Amino acid sequence: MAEQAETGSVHIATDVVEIIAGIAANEVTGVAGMSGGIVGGITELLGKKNLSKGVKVDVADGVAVIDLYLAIEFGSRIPDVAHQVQQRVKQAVEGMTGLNVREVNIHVQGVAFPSDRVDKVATDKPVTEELLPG
Amino acid sequence: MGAWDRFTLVLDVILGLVLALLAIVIALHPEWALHPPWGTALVASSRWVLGAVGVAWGLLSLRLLVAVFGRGTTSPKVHQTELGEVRVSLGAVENLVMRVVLGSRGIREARVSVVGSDDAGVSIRIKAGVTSDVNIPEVSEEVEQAIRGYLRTIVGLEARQIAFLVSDIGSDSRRGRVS
Repeated sequence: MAEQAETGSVHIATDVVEIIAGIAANEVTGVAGMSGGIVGGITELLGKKNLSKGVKVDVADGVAVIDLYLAIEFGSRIPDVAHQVQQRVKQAVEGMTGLNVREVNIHVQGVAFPSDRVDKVATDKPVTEELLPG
Repeated sequence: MGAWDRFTLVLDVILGLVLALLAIVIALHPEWALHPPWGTALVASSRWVLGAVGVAWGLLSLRLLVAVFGRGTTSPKVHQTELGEVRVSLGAVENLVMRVVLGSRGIREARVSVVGSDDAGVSIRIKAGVTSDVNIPEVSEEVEQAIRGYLRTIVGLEARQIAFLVSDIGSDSRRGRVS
């Protein structure tokens, strides 16, 4: 994205928008982590922290459409958490970049159960007996 | 995995078996790799067929990879706001339902699969093993109610149809279960 100013132009890479959106989404209570698919998983296996994992941003004419792939903590109401994420991400991206965010689409890819680490995404993981309530 | 993906998987496995058989035959008769008993003329004349089979196999395999690892577009939409839509993957729904089923009275083990979905709701099939000290109709009713309530409250999704199949009855209640 490029913005023309009097003293020059400002370019904001899509990656930066993705990172802003990813960080904002992770700050919402009830979000267990982002789900980045095969590429994101391999990147993290290589030791590189991938802050844009699970975020896809399309920018055209200063308008952004953001897709977030995430995991929700077990017990959280998905519509409530999703709405908070949408608001937080829109606010963060618009506030930091000046872009107009038209849509923030949420794709819940998994649910993290209580014994999972907070930053771990438990997508399609089978339920094990020790996770069950007593 | 849908019916088409299962069909693709079967084709892929059959082609794999043919290749495995060929590898065994060549291992037993290494000279056949260079001088096949059916003659090189047949191989030369059918090379386009072999190429087509290779391309088809490659495409089938790629399709399976996408089916297994792809994000998929069939996730039901559970919520639409002015800011965008909210979708939940079928894998996540299955895990949540599994959690509810295994937490229910009288259930020893269970397998859950979402057999159909659209924006109006999901159809669920449960194959469960129950303990021998329960009334099965009561347990299935309880499980069904629990799933419907949970999906409606937590996910915002309707369970259109729930099929409950008892596949096993046993006496060993799981540890920690409050009956």
